[in-house]
Amino acid sequence: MDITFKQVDYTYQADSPMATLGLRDINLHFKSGTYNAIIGQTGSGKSTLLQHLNALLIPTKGEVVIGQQVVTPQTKNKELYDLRRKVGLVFQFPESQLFEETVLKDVAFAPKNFGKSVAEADEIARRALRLVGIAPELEDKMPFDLSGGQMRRVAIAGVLAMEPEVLVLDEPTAGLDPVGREEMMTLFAKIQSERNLTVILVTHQMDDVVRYAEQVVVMEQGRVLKTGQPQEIFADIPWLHQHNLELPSTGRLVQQLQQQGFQFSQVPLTVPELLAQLTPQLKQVVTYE
Amino acid sequence: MNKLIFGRYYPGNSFVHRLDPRLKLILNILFIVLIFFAQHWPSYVILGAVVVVSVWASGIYLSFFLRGLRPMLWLILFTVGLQLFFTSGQHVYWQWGWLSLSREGLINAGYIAARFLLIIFMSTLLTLTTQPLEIADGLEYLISPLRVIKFPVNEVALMLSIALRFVPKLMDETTKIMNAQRARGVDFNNGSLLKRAKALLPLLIPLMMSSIDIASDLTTAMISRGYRDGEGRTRYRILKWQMRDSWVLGAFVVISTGMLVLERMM
Ligand SMILES: Nc1ncnc2c1ncn2[C@@H]1O[C@H](COP(=O)(O)OP(=O)(O)O)[C@@H](O)[C@H]1O
Ligand SMILES: [Mg+2]
Repeated sequence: MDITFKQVDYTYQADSPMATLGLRDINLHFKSGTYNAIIGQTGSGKSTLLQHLNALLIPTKGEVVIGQQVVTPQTKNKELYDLRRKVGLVFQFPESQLFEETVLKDVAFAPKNFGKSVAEADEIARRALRLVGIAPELEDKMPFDLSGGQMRRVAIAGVLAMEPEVLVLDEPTAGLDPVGREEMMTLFAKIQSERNLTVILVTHQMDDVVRYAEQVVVMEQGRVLKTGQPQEIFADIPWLHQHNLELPSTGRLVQQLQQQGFQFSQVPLTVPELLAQLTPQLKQVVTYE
Repeated sequence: MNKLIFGRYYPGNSFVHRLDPRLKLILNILFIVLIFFAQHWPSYVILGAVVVVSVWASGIYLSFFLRGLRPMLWLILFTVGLQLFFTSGQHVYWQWGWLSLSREGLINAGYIAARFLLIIFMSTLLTLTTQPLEIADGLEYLISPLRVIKFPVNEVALMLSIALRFVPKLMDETTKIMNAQRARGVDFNNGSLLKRAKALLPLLIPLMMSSIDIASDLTTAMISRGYRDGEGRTRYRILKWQMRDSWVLGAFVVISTGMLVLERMM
């Protein structure tokens, strides 16, 4: 589903003097079937933006168009049921939403809410659990008896079980160990290409951004600062420093190599790109000696 | 969740905000006692005026209080309804079985509604203008005489301040979990009463789990920083009684004496 933001403002507690700015003049387009990343400092409005994607928050001004559904400040809650099914939102630390007696029941919760029969829902839930790498033995355990990493997987399975067309992920790997993080990111990429999902990912891991994202959105203080492909966003190193954004790890390495006299025509963002530019220069060094 | 303003502090620096929390607590208690002495309408005019002036002096919009009333609305309507139809009296306007609408019933219902409004406004004003920690400090001060009978004043005060401190945190947590479950298709606002009650389960269980987590983290943090008990601890925040506190207390004493005298004469 295509998603478009048109001049969206959002204010928290809008009708009270405690009003705080959430979003200001957001204009964005997420193309159907693409992988998008949103980056920016804590408090820049990333989570607020995400909650507009399935209308948990409704813009104070402007409109959000998600597929066929137009969400404006006047939209009523009842009209949004269908939208919620099509957009799966994985919140920050989603393990805090687990509540059922068993892992399986918890994952089957959303499909049941969206009208599937118990048998169908269980079937979908089993598939979702296999997908995130939870073994059948764990299905009948209490979710609270699992390890933190397993709880995270179960919670994510709970959203995948809605079989959404858009997958929205709010820092899904925060607090996971490196192996778990890698597995999780690979999983999202796999589902994205298999089901042709639109993915919108909020993350602080710039390596994941350059590796997976086709479009990057940079946010600062409730506004969109810049949008573009990773190459465009990470090309301007002084600009990144100015806005307190990190470079991907290859970028950091390249900076140090440049100080040693190596030349790069454009900043390589991934390891293969780096190798492509570095190997010829290293060969030269070797031949000189 | 933000509609439930009871227990939410409203930042500000008005005259009411700056009053001593002990004074605000005492006045709240005295005000409630006073309400129960009010039997005639002039007293309600006086009490109403006190509330109006206090709300005005706090600089907080009236709409903010009215929104806070909403969760209490059903309780108020229920009690008023009881008074309205179950008070027996001489001037009966309408009767049906053991239900009757009499002049006494009408008057009683009016008074009950007025009492509810007055008490809710005053206590909401207290929590809106006083930070939770100030309230806890004030309470600790007020119950400290109980130390004589070996009442664990410090511990109870600590429990209170911790509980109050975590009210906003738990409310934010509630919003977060509600959103997560709404994203999974839970509808908290529509459907039959049974359906809505069932919808609470996915909210309450995670909330309980996270409360337990918060509590155990806090315990660890306190123990590792060497907390034993409150005996003989010095204070970081010290309450200071000001001239304006004495003035407000004086004014309140004068007004309440006036009201009580008026009540006696009628
Ligand atoms: N429930 C809320 N009530 C009031 N303000 C909020 C609420 N949630 C977030 N904010 C404010 O909105 C801004 C953006 O927050 P958020 O979207 O959570 O940022 P991010 O996800 O980028 O860290 C912050 O200034 C934050 O304080
Ligand atoms: Mg966030």
